[in-house]
Amino acid sequence: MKAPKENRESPGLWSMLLSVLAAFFGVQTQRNYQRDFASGRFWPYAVLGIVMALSFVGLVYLLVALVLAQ
Amino acid sequence: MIKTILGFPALLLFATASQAAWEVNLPRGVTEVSREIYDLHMTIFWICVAIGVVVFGVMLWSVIYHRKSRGAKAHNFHENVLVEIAWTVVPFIILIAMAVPATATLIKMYDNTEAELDIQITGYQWKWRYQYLGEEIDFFSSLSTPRDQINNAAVKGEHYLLEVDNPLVIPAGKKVRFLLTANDVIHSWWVPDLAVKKDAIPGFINEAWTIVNEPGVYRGQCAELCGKDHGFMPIVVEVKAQADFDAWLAEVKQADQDKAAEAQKSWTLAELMETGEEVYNKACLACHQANGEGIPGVFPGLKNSPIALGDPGPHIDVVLNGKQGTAMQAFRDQLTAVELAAVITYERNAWGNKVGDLVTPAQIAELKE
Repeated sequence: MKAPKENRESPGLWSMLLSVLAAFFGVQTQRNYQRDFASGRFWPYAVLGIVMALSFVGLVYLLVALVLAQ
Repeated sequence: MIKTILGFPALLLFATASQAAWEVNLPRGVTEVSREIYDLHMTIFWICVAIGVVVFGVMLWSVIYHRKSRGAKAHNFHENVLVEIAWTVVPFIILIAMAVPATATLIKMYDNTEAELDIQITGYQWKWRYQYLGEEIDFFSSLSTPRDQINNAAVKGEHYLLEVDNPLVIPAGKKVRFLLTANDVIHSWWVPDLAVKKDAIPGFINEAWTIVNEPGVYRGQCAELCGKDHGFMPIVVEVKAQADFDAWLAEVKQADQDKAAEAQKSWTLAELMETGEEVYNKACLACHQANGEGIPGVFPGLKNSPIALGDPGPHIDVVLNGKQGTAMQAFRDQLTAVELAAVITYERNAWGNKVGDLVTPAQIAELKE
């Protein structure tokens, strides 16, 4: 991944989180997509993605436990 | 044209009338769970119909009213986040809405607790074995449709290929739990009216249950391709009122005792040959064939075979204990001492095999213990 080394500020945690959420959902705006690829770095997105995948699994697990407990 | 228009409602009427005979839809069944599954199925079906009508309606409308010949111009744009989110969120909401009733039904279906009767069902090639746990009742249930009907030599009966010698009998209004497993290959125990379809897998035990309130006879089939006679191992469930069920239990136990006593009496060759032929047609014919010649290369023939013509010891052993690594099953538990003795005697004296000796039921009864 070769992101152009500009001196633009990389996106903040909140907007990275939103971008990963958008990726989970499957829809992203062109503007955010350009921003992420122009100034973001790979690893923070990957880590966020893995963490959110794990939390999704946990969420489903909790939901099933909750439904079965009733 | 007018005829066609008038004919259409008539066709609909006809479709309703003939529905009972030719059912395309899922059967409603006779248990609370089967009806719940049916209702769920219809709910989901109508949701799918509604989605189909909307999607194809919009598509057809667009195709007709915005066609090129009418001067429609394509609107070229690349992305529209709002529309993309809408067409992702809407199916998501529909799926969740469908999952709520589906989950409720699934939870009910898988609640195997508090059964009043446990029955172990074991699939064999090609019959079922029913063991009433705690009742010492254990029997095999195999196809009873005569071979002549199968071979088109006789008119087919009403329950062609859906009839058995010993049906599974359960009490009405009681929760009955089925524990399913198999002896050889994977089978599947399926009775549509009870909405029970469960794989019977060697080495595993699967659970299913039912409560049938109405006494009656319900028929099903093996639903997992299990070899040559997969289509010839039907299931018949007879639901009896509690009093009738109790009477049946007593009757079966008495019959078991009678069979044990029968083994001790002395049998003539003619008697054994007669019983032996019946047993052979029920238990052996599928593989070894009516003429005793088997299917060359697949199932060995018994006519002129060294085992059937030799010393009775190895012959008895192979019938009782089966043969490792082949399709030959162990019939030790499948047949009574009398049936085993009779069929072995039959095999040694039929189709030109003339050993002349007879294997006695008492001899087999001793080996079975």
